[in-house]
Amino acid sequence: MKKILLILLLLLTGCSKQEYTKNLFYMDTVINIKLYNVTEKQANEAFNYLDNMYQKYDNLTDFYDPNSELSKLNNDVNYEISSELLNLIKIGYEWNIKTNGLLNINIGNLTKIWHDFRENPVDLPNLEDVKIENLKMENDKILNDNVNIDLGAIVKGYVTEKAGNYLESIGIDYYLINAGGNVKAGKSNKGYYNIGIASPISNETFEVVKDENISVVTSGGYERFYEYNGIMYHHIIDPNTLYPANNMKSVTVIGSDSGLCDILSTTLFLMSVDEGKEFIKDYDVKVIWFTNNNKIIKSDNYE
Amino acid sequence: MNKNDIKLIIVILFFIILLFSLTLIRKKANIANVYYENELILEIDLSINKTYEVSGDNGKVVIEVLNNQIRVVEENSPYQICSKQGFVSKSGESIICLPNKIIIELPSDELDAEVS
Repeated sequence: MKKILLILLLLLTGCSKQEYTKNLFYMDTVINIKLYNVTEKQANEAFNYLDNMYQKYDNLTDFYDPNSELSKLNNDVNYEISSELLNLIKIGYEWNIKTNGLLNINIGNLTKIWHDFRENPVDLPNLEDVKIENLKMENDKILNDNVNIDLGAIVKGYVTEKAGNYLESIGIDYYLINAGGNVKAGKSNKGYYNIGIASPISNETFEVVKDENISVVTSGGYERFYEYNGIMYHHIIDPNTLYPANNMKSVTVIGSDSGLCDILSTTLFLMSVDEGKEFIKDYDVKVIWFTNNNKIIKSDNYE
Repeated sequence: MNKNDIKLIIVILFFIILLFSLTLIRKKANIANVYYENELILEIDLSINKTYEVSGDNGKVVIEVLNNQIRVVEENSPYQICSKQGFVSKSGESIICLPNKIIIELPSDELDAEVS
């Protein structure tokens, strides 16, 4: 009888399968990870691994940390970089071509000017001397004489996709990751997750995505706007105008791959709604635009 | 099975019921949970108008509850993002004071996550 009780106690404490939550603080955001139907041991192992993974990519790609690998490359284009950083840069390079230069990771000089303006918004920045160059690559080598790469548009979705893939590889299929508005959901015990999309003009949720095994990413939204002389500025910069894009208030991309959704949401934010509708025909994603006139437009495949 | 075993079983069952009821209570939407990193440091009843003070990485964070709404009124951070956000009141909403690592969450039965 004692043995049975002991086993019962063990089941209740150490080995019971339940929900575990962890917040990680990297990439200037909170990464909230929820794991379901796992033991405490499984959860701790997974949280540990993911903590290291997000930290590693944060350290690799932090544009404002002079010691990050990315900063070393930005200082010296011949600096030998890791395959992890190279992969991210290659993705940026490929998307620069796919979008005819619209998605450009080589505009760190420009994003820094606007970043400094946000920190100290006295006069609008003088952009006369800013030159934009597309990345040139051949056989995994950067051909530009110097680069100024900012991976902000890519890295969160990319790592979050990797995080989901890792969880599935160790048998954790039931999970929900929210990396600062970059949601990747695995399987759900109730068959779906309710993922709300916040309105860019109020604190309300204007749409709820009800699904599992899905990624949802928004660009825009009230949290990332800032105001100067009555004009709202956003942190996503258009490489053609050199100014923050103002085609819409927000755009949300729903698809299976978090990395793709992240890149597409930034890309679509830089296009008009009509251009975006045309552009996404090549991709298996659904899109919701929140226009400057506060209209909600959904892609044709949205039901 | 002797008397002691039965007592033990009753104690265990009591704790099981207690744990279940605790998780159920937390799901109510009229409270706010305040976390520092991963630690729940405060459970706030939104029906009581009151000011709370918690400490984050950059010092104190002052939280105000007024008419079933909650906001951050004072914090030490470069952009003051979480105090600029103003009041939130709906379940599923949250206020995140990033430099302070303070998270205020209004638990929701309906929403599992939110993008913005």
